[in-house]
Amino acid sequence: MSVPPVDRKTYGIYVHIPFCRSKCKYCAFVSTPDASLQKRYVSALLSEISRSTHRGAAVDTVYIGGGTPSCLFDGGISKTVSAIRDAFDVSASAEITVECNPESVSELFIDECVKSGVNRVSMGLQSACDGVLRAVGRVHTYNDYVSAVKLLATAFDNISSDIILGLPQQSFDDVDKAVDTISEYCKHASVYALSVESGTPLFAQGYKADDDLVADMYDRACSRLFDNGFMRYEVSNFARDGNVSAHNVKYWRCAPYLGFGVASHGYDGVGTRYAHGDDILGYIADQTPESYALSPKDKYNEYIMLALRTVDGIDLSDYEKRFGASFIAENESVLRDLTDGGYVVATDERVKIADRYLFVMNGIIERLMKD
Amino acid sequence: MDRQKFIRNFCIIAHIDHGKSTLADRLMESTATLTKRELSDQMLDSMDIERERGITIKLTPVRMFYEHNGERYVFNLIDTPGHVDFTYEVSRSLAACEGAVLVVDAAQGVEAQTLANVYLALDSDLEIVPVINKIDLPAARPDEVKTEIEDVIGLPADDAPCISAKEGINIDDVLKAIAEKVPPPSGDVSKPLKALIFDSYYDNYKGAVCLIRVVDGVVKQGDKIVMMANGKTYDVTEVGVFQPKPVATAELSAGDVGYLCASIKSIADTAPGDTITFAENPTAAPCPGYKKVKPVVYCGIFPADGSRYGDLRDALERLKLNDASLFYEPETSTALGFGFRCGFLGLLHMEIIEERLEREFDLDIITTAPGVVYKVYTAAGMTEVTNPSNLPPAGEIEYMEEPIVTASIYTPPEYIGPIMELCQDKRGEYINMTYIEKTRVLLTYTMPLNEIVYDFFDGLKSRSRGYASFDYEQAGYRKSDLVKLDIMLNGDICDALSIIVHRDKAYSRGRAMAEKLKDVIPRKLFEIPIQAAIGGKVIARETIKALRKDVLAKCYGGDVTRKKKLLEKQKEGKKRMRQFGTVEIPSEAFMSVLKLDNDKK
Repeated sequence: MSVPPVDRKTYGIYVHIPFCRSKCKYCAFVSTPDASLQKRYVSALLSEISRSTHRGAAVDTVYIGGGTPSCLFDGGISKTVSAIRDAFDVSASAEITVECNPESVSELFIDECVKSGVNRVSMGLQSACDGVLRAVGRVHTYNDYVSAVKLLATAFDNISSDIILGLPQQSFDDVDKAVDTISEYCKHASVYALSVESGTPLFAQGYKADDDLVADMYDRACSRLFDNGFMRYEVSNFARDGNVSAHNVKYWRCAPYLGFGVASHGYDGVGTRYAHGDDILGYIADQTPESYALSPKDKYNEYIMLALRTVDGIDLSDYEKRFGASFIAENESVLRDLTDGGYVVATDERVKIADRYLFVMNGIIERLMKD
Repeated sequence: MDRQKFIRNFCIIAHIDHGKSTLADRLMESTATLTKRELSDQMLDSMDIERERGITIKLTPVRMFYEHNGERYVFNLIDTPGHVDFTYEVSRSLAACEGAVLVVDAAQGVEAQTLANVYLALDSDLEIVPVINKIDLPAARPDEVKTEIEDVIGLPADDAPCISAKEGINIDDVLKAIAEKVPPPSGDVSKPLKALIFDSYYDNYKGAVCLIRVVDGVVKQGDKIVMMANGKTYDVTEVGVFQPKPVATAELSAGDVGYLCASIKSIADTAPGDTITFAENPTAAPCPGYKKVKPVVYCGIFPADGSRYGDLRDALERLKLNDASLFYEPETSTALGFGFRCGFLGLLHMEIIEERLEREFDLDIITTAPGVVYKVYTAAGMTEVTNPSNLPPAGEIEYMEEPIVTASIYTPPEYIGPIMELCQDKRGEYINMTYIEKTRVLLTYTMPLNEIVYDFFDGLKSRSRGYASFDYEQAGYRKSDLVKLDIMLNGDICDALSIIVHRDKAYSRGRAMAEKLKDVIPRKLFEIPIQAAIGGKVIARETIKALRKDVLAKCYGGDVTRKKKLLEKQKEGKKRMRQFGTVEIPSEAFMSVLKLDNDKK
């Protein structure tokens, strides 16, 4: 299965909702359990959307992530989606995703999403074992997830769920059960390796995942997902029946996207990125992001780093269009090394990381990056 | 002769931390050489100057004036370094003195290094003035220490001044003892000039500056002099004394300590130990010179960043200017590229040079395992080998000899057991054990130097909780069953990790090195075998497993830049590693194998 080509004129939109009922112990994202800020935050968000300098742009993906958007006050999601529709030319077939967690999925939430035109939901499972879920501070059980995903399935055809590998106390059986549960209800799955970030309670505990174990779990999850009819289209992302996440593909293909909300990022698809700060109160006071131009080296390094995450790798003709040069010619000797070693597969159309080395892609990508 | 009657040339000898520098400061303060305020200001200033010139303070002579019984004495204090590595420098300053103040810590008593330097002083016929310092400490036991000095060193210490240099207690007693006990110089002013160079440094304006002790005669500006070692002649441009900054004087005469400048272009022409005399009326015989010092410890020094080879060379050149004992020559390693094989007087000397390279020259360096000078006998005769890579093939070697030292270890009795175990483990041969007093024992061992340069200090420290002190002197060479231990990474010998070891030690060292390297060398996409081998025969093997996971988590909120920076940083980090075939070796890997036992014990 390949990642579909992207339209370079049409934008994706990412919106960050920095609220959760409770913060998981591994989470380094910007999120707070303090619901008292929600109203003020959403009005700041709506104001940023409506004042966007890109007003009127064509948009074909919207991704409302977090945090846990499902724990937003009633009407929060619909107001946000409406503001986006008001400010941008959102296509009728646009993929509109909202993230949620089992503890805050309700009929009311589903109803609000459906009425707003949300057609894809992504819900965190992370583990199918209640002991593991407790150990990392998640506030739902496995059964909570099953009930929530059944409820979502009544309204949504395209459901995605996440698994994290390398959590404390996690076992292979847990991974198997999580994969099978997701396979039963979802058409898209994300399988991430836990990264223990500084500043998180897990980091403070001194927890370290065993990389070899995580690699074994990854292999196990992959083969089980393949058995269940999923295809891998990016190192951590799997889809069934072609339900690739159109929004995420924009990141990997260096397509343009806008970011609204605290800690969100945007990219013009050419050479300028912008970033919002990490402080919620700061965002409420001032929504102006900080722009920065990418150097030719930055553009190159980002492009190959992102493209090589996908199973299709670098599309050589797209590369040539963007950079006006031949990727193969530019990297001849390194590429020969990498293909001889079997780490990279090169055809006339593409250069990709060999499937069995996807999980160790960093060292390979580094060799192709410019100094 | 009257003039000399009131000159006292002396040095201070002490174990590290027994308060030598503090006492020197106090003496200067008490003799009003410097006021208390100047003391800190001026000493700092002159330290800065010295730092700029790259000389160390250790041999700076200072002139002081002291009134005693209505007479005005001239005191010349010639400072000495305390450590065994610098024995040659100690002997240099001793040759310029008639007396030595022996500082002993009132709590710790006589230590190994003290003893070594006292013997040197006695060999040079110096009058030794014992001083008990730090009597202000609660643990001070001056009377016991006095007995110790009498028993261990054989010096009468009954009337030794008991002082606290730190608190300024009884400093005048020291000055009085120097005036009364240290004999005056006994040179002949009417004889032709005979002056001993005991040190020299380079000054940008004056050229090489000789620190001299005038033995006979008088020298002044305008005199035509000759260096007896190389016969070069010069016109004296300036003579003077240190107070403690250089102050020009009209002349220096028999018994004086001071400096002499003569527009000498290179310090190579002012070799310490040489004698200066008049070109046209030379002295009959030069002063007895110093024994030429030979490095005893060698290691490879390489820039961590290969492109800074030139900087490293310049830095070594600079250090060599004022440290004639530093030896270096270019070395090429397949693993580390271009660097230098350096020779040192001992481990401390090596550490000081390494530290100066890093601190004063801002260089990141990689050092290889320190080694000693082996004598290798082949059909063609004897060669000295300082670099394992230069060892002839095993088949050609008839036999080898390694340097041996006599080690003196002072320790409280409760640590005797573990220390003896350590010495045994280091192939030591027990010679003697003496109870100096109830709480202190002197252990004497004969040991191979190559065991001491490895990690003996650390072992001693940890086994005695830091209470044992240690010193050694060279004791010749001994035939020994030595082998070259190689480390092979991915099948290729990594020359920078090769060492020469005793056959009995090879297996455990090889295994420990392989285990350690397995932990510090980053995993690659393929398996990397690490093998320890003697002459091609593998004696230990470890495997660095193939890397299984390095992928980064998802791009949060579209934040691509953070991830890209992370990868760029990792790539940068790898560039600082040494590429050895297909394996990257971090600098720490080379250092980590130098100290293997610490982790285990």
